[in-house]
Amino acid sequence: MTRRVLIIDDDDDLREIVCAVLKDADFEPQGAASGPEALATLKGPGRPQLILLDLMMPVMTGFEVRERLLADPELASIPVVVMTASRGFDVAPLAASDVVYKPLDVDELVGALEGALAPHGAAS
Amino acid sequence: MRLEVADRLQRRRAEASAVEPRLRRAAGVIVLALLLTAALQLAGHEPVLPILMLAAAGALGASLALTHVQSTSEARYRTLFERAPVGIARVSIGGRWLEVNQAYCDILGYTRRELLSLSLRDVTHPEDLASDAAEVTMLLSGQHRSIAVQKRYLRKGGGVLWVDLVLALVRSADEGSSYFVATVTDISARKEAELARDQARRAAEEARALLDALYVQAPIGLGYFDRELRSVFVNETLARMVGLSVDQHVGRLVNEIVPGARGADAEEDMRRVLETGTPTTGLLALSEPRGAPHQGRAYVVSYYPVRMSSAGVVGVGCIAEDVTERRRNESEREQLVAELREAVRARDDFLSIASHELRTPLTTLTLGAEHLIRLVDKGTAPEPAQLRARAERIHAQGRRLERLVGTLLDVARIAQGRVQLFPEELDVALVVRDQVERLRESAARSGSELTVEAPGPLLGRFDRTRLEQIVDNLVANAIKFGRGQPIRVALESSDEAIRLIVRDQGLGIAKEDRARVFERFERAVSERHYGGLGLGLWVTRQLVEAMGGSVFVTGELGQGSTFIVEWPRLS
Repeated sequence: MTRRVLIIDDDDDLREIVCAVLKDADFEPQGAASGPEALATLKGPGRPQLILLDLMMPVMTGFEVRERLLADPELASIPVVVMTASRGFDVAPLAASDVVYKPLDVDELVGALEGALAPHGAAS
Repeated sequence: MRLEVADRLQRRRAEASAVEPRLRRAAGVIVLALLLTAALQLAGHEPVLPILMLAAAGALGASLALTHVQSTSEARYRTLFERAPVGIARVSIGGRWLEVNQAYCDILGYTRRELLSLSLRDVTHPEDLASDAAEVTMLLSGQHRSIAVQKRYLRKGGGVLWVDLVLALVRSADEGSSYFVATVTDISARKEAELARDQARRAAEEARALLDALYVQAPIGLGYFDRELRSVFVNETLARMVGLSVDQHVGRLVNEIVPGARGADAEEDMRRVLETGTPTTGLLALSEPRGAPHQGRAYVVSYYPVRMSSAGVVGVGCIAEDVTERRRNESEREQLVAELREAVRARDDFLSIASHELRTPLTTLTLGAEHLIRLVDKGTAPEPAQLRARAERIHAQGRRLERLVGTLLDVARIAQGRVQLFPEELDVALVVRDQVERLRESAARSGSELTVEAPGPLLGRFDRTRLEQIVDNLVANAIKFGRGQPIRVALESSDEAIRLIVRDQGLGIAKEDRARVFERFERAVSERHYGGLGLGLWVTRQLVEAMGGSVFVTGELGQGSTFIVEWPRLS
């Protein structure tokens, strides 16, 4: 079963290492350096089963990206795991399957994504 | 002594009673002699015997009559002395009482016996002793026959009383027999009343003086207006506030003193106080004093009814306080508080950004290292070249963290004024070119073409590390906000200055934000996260200035920015 994950993070180094880690954990990762880039990717073929979303990004924040996703009926049902270095924000508007905080280890990251893909962990 | 006087009086009374029958007998002899004389003359005889009888009787009668007159005068004097409503005394030249009457005793509260055993000094108030001595001397010198003074006596038991004293010297041929006659009247009640009146007058004068002082010198404006709202008086402060002299106020209506709408407002407020009898306080009035335009001041004005129990509200009191400075201070304080809040907010934002910035490379580093370990554990270690690439990426995260921590430490050092420079003679052009080269890959990744024009060698004395940091900060900033457009770095030199120019064609900075971007924790685009601590430009400015230069930015919003650093060449 394909486990395609779209990783939206403006930090190139982090995005690359996350892709490498997820590839080894049997995911099919794809990176997007910004919100607009991610939305463009989602319009194209090969829609992911899961989105890993950073919050603090230039041009379009993670909150804005999530808002756009929820507003789009075709994209709203894709589960989203938020991965952020921020603290103390309201997670409710993100309607996320899970929120993980940087810095984190491999098990934590993979566990969160697998949990989100499991039937009970699907986003509402 | 008293007994002696009494005995003498007794004797004189006895003598007086013995005189009367003898007088009657002398008168009988005279009548008999006259009858004998007439009979002898009718009989033709010389009346020798009757004449002798007449002479003898006359002499006796005259002598007896004189004695009688003397006794009567003495008695009257005694009666007068004893019954006089004023104190009378005979006092020796040495100041001892020779004789006192009852009134004198009553005034001083002593019995006669007690008083006669004391001297005048004993009952004189200590403060009056000196003047007493002077007066006695005056009398004895013959300058005055008598003197009249007011002095204080000490009553038996310690009370002080005021008396009117008339002291007269009765001189005798025998100097030892001279004495004073003292007449005293107790004037304590009158004196007390006088003292009370004086005290009341003094208190009233003091109160008036205090009121005047307060009124004139009060730092607040004070005025009083009658029921017609004519000024009765104003103090200097109020006059100064209005811009007229104190005299110019007197008798003028309030709306003549304060022209226009403000005068009308004041009149309305004052009339309301007159009508309702209740004060109106804390009215804010803004004004420009006459003769001082554009020096607007703020006053807090209060009006109070002035009441007299007999006539009700007779006028309006006015109190005006200049609150311009206070308002200015309040406004400054509010601004300060706002700035402080803003600084706290900026600091909190910074802490949030700083922790975010530190966590991101830390995540890359830990994930990268853990990933490698897992690969090795699984026996699927990558090829050496790939392994090296991954290790380099991990190493790069370490450097990234090091730079972030370095910047944070720089901020602390700069804030504490502890930046140390180590200048050396170097080729500025070479340093700039090398530093730009290090950022070329980063620029390429963001799509920006990076060009540098730094003809050299260009020698100057700079701290190498700090110069590299300045170039790095400005170029990294251009890459971050350059929207992938070309970035041009140029180094120019003239006789006067060395100039470093970094030009991008990115977001640009609005004119009003240009100064702000060089502040700590500030960036022109704060709501979006562009990575970094937001301290690069602040650190750059601090370093440039520490090196004797200046930095500024030009350009328009949406049309890119040009940062220019200028170091004057020292001759």
